[in-house]
Amino acid sequence: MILRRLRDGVVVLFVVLSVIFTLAHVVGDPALVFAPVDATEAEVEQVRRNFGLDRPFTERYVDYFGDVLTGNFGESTWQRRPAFDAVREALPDTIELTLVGIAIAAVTGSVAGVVAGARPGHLFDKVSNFWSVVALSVPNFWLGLLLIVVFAVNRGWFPTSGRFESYSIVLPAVTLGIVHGGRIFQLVRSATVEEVTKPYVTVAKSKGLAATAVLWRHVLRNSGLTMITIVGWEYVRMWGGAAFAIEYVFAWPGIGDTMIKAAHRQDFFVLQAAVIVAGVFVIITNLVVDLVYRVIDRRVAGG
Amino acid sequence: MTGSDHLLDVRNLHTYFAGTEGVVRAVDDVSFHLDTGEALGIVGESGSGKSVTALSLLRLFGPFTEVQSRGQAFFDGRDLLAMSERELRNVRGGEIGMVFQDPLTSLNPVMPVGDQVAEAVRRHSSANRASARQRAIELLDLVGIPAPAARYRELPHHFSGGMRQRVMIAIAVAGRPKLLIADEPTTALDVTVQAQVLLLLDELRRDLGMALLLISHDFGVIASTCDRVQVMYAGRVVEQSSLEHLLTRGNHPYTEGLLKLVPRFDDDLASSGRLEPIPGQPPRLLEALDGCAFAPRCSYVHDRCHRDRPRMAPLGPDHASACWLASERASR
Amino acid sequence: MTATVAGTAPTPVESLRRLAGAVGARLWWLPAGFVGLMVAWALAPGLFAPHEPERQNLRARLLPPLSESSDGYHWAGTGSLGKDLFSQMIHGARLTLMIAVIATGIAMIFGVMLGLAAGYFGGIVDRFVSRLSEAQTAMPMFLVAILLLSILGPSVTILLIVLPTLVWPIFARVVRAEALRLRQSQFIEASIAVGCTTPTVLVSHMLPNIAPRILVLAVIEIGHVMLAEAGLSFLGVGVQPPDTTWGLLIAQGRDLLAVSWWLTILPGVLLGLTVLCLNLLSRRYERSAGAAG
Repeated sequence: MILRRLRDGVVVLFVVLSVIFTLAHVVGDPALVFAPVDATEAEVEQVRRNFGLDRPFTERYVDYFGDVLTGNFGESTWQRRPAFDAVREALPDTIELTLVGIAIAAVTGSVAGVVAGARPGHLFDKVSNFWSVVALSVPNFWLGLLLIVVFAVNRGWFPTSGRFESYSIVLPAVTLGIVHGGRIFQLVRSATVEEVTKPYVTVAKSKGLAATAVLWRHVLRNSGLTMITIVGWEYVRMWGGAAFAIEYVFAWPGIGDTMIKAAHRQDFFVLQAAVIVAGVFVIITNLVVDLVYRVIDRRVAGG
Repeated sequence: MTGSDHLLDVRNLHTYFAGTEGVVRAVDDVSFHLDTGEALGIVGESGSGKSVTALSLLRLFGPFTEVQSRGQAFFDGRDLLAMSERELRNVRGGEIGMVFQDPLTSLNPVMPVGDQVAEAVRRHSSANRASARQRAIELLDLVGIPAPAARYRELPHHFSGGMRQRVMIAIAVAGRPKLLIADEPTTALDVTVQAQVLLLLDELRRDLGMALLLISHDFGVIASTCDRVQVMYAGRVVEQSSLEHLLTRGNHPYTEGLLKLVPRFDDDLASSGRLEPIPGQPPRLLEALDGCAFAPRCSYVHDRCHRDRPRMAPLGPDHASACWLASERASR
Repeated sequence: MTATVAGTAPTPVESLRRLAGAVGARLWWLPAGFVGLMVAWALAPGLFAPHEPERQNLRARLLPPLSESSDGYHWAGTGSLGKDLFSQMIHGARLTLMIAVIATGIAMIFGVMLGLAAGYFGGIVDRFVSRLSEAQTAMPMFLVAILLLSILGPSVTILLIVLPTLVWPIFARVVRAEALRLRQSQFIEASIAVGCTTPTVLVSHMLPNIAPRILVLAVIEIGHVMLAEAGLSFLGVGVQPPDTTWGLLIAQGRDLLAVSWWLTILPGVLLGLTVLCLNLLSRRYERSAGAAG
């Protein structure tokens, strides 16, 4: 199972890279793709010669994977240094932001989800349910911009962007927390609802336990594992989109910000390196979530 | 308003649910009583309101159920229905223990069985962790779990259905209850295991001096364990009597129909005829029924049955039936 | 009584009745009316827009919402060139909705075909499709989309190729599950037994039963695609000016965020409300279908 997931991840990465390569080399003119935006005719010709683009397609394809496997992702045309370095430098910032973001999302989403799910149909359930739908309906980058207008421009409590103060992380992390907290809320809520309708909960009540004791000692003991997995998947999901747009909104110097600025400058190799690094990270995170699930599951149910 | 001499005295219990299609009158004006040490059986088809009656007493409804109960239910002189949630919590699992239908889903799958018993012990005594554990092992031993100390830490899925129901019973009697409610305790079990569990319930009732309220759709189950029987149909009690009396001189046409459904090994099948199902379906409990709820399926029906609701009328010292033909049928 | 007999699928008529019941519930007109208005804007922006969206008026630059200029009243204020934001938003509805609907449609067609094949034929076809749709969760597809768009050059056409790749697996998964369920039902077995050809079974018997579910899903996914398109356009790799969508309007207002918040916030409110209404409509339907079934 674990190995299958790892294999799937590697296969997908391989397929994605092949598609990128094919598109760059067959559909478009690779020299134009690789060259900087404002390159002159002569410079493009220079690129063509440097990359050996006159060689046959298959030869280039094999070389390409050789390069990728040895960590040679090409040279950034904009930063004039190896693309991998530019991305590697940004990686810790992205990890830091996403971890703080997922922590906010996990705490708010799980607490609200359990409270709402324990008493479905009550006022708190209805209100929080509606808000979670709202959180999932608004564009995440727009939410970031809204927070900037309110808390940075109007109130001046936080910097509008960049990473210069220790509390610069607050607004981008809160934005991520709201968006992903919304989905964690919905998943945790339905997991809780499913659990509290099971007969053993009625039995626990029939012992004379108070509602909170039933929730803590019985319901959460059963839904806890599901909740951990929910948070794990949501973290992976964060890497699938929101985190990168949010970085760009707040000029947070992570992979997303680097990548989007590279996209604006047609810096192909940095773009590609970012996709590869993020892809590998997601594959590893998937594996970790699976492993954690398995270990806990064995400890709980294995006896 | 004073209490009652009976251990449990239920008067005019009504329980209504808010369903998607309207109000469901699951329990419709039910009265009965139960004395210390006595075993009362409630029998009826599924949907007759017998389980809801029990759940109403302890207010054990799921989170989705919008439910309302009216009436009175005196237990030891105090009205259960008038109690606050906090007061009722002390009764649940303490003075009243409850055993549920499905032992496979009634135990917490990720909690050691011993802890689940000990939890009930601690809730209703001042026992510390160690002595609660000791008491839980005694209880597991009492209900017939072999090697209870060794099996204390095992999770429910290591136990068979019958063994799990024994654990459930240990939980239910952990608070030394005066009343044990058993809601279809054997329905989910194999026939041979059923007999063992019923025997256990009967023994425990005598040894611990509890009263037993046994709910079942199966006359055989009731007959082997109870002193008195009450028959429910469509949320109402239609007949109540001592067991022997009911089996020999059952009065209500619905009781008659139910008894025909019980296979008897001592009877000659050829002479007594086949098992006869009662024709028709129980009514949907969505609208108030003016007449007798059983009238549409009754073979003795006459005009009045559709018009007026028959009340429980005494036929003897411990026999009452809710049928317009009761006295006529009694003198047959 | 319209209760279905256990083991048979609900008829399309019944599913439609459920849909009607869902829409007939209280307050249905609020989200439905809003979505309807957005569709009307998209179809005939000229009828609704108070101003020419591209008309510049340098004396009416950066007016806040609810102000007046020599051109008239500006509900949503004006931009840096004095263009009326409200009119721009109305005209932006067309491309925003068009891209979302078409991209979802393409994803739906692919997802339904692959999902039906997987659920009906099983075996190696099923394994291939399942693995393919599962595999997507193993990659940050939004980043791949950014990369693809910047290689191929951002344009509406390329968007219509890239966006469906983000959402087709959801259709495939749902359709596969439904097809698997139906495959075992009696009426499909009966139609195979009486000798219906595979295409007949798939198109005439299975598809009508799955259709309501797919359409509800499509409503949600249109919302998701709108958000994805807005994201890509906001990041500069989606729709390019002079075309305009709500996502692009948000991006264009971003530089003036500190001075004229409305240029960014209002198009986002519009986008968020539209997606919210789509979500509410589909949730309402699912709830009533769940209660009936």
